[in-house]
Parts: sequence; C-alpha cells; structure tokens
Amino acid sequence: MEGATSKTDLTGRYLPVAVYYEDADVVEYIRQDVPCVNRRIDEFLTLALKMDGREPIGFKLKGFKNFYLHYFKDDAQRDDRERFVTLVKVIEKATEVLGNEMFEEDRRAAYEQAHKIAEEDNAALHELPDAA
Amino acid sequence: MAKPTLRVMIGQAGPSTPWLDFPLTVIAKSPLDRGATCRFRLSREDAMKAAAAHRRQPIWELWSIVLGEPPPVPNVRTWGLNVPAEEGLITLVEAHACFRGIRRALAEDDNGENVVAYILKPRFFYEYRANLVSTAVKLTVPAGLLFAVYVRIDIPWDAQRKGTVGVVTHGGFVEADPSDPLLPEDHASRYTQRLW
Repeated sequence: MEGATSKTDLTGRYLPVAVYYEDADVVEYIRQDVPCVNRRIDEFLTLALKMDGREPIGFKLKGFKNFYLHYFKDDAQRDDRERFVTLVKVIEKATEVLGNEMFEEDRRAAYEQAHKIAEEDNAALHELPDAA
Repeated sequence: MAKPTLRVMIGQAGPSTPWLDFPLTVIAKSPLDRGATCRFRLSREDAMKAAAAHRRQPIWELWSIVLGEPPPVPNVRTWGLNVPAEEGLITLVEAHACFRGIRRALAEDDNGENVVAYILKPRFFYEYRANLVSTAVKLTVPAGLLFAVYVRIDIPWDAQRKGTVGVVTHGGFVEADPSDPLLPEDHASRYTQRLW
C-alpha cells in the first residue's frame, strides 16, 4: 500500500535512478525531473539534455530487452545468475560489443559522458525486465 | 528470437489518481492514410513506473501534448500563469509528419521496423514543478524543438479493423532540422521511411 500512495504523491522529491520502461524498451537515467530534449547518438544511446541550456542530465539505453535476449539470456538460465544491479555494466557490455573500431570520436565521447554520469551518481537499476 | 511473452498488468483495487487516469485510447491520423484516422492504446504501465520514481515530467507531456489537456492536478486551470489552461495545446491527431522504422531494437523487434513516429510542433506544454499552488505550469515550447510520439503498430496491420491498431509507447522532445524546422534533425538517418 505504501507504493500505491507514494506514486500518487505530487510532492515527493525525485532522486536520480535508472528505470526500465518496458513499452519503450528503454533504460532511462535522468538526474533531474525537468523537461529535456532527446539527442540520439546511435541505435543504442540517446542523451537527455536539459531543455533550458542543453546541459546533459541523463541518458537512455535503447533496446535493452532486445540486447538482453541476444547476449544475456544464457546467463539468465543459471540458478545463481547475477542480476544487473548497476547500469554501468550494461554500458560497458554495449561498448564491448560495438568494438572500438566502430566508434567515431564523438560517439565515444557520448558513451564516456554517459558512463561518467552513471558513475558520479552511482546509478542503480530501479527495475529489471524478466527474461523471456 | 523469443516470442512475445504475456505480461501481468499491475493495477489497484481503488480509483486511480486523476493524473494517472488518462484515456485508454487516443485518436491519430492513420500512418498509411493521412486522410483517415485510427486509434492507438495508451499504455499506463510505464507511466506508473515513472510515477513510482516521482518522475512526472513525461506524464505531464503525455497529457499536454499527446492528449491536449492540462494535467489534471489541483488548481491547474485556475492558476493565473496557466490561464487559459487549454488554449494552444495540441493533440496527437495534429501531427504533421509520420515516419516508419526507428532504426533501433525495441524488445522483440530487432530494428524497430514496426514502430511509427509521429512528429508534432506544439506551441505549449506543461512542466512539472514542486509548487504549492499548482504542480503543472504552462510554458512555451522553445524554438527549434519538435515532439516525437512513438507507436508500436499491431502486426498484421488491419486498416479495416474498428478497434485500436497499435500502442503509444513513449515520446519526447527532439531538436528540429535547421534546414527544415518541421522535421527532426537527422530524420533521414533516424527513420527508415517517411510515410507522410
């Protein structure tokens, strides 16, 4: 019941957290609950920029479920499989898959920027998708 | 690739709070025929997750840009800064461009081929603020911005079907192409095909 009433509270303060939105298949990490502009970097990453001033305030990792199904499904079958508790691990894995040769300088900088944001705020995943 | 799985829809026994109780469907121009209309479902689950994290801004944008209404929160229609609260708001059916294929994976869809993007140019939107009078403030959309709404269309597509033909998954502001301010920047590479 605490969850049911807390989500309807208009005064509760937003704290940075990574949230997986299943309909959009996006893991979003935003520092502030403010209007933002989405700037697509590539098929995996979108930066969230504060509408006022275009300061980067977060990022979105797209296709997380699709990526998970392709690369982590086997691990999910183990009894002692490890849950993803930090978003940084996902970013690191995405970078490994793409490979350094495919990164253009500006794209690498965007991933490093997203990595820095997650590390600074010690991002923790708010919710995880169930493995298919 | 795994087949789509059934999901348990989380609900509650009591009445939903007004700003989470948005309509089940929204009308839009048909992706295949700009002169016709169709209906899409509005998923509530992601909004519930956002609300649980006290993340309200995407919900305020859903109300004020997709549905064309001020978020139903106390005093939103009477607070001086917002009056007239509904004037100038647009809805999804007023999208001026539509693309198919978002060139990125979305769940079981490896390349987003079955996702369409509606492009809108709203003049106003509502911002969430921790304000004692009204938590929804009407603002002018800055120049150079558009709003993209993404819809997963049902497969197979049935133009004759009387019910809904897809589900609105998410949306957000994007930067406009400086050379064509009614289209998103990099629209040619961002989307597979322009429908209209």
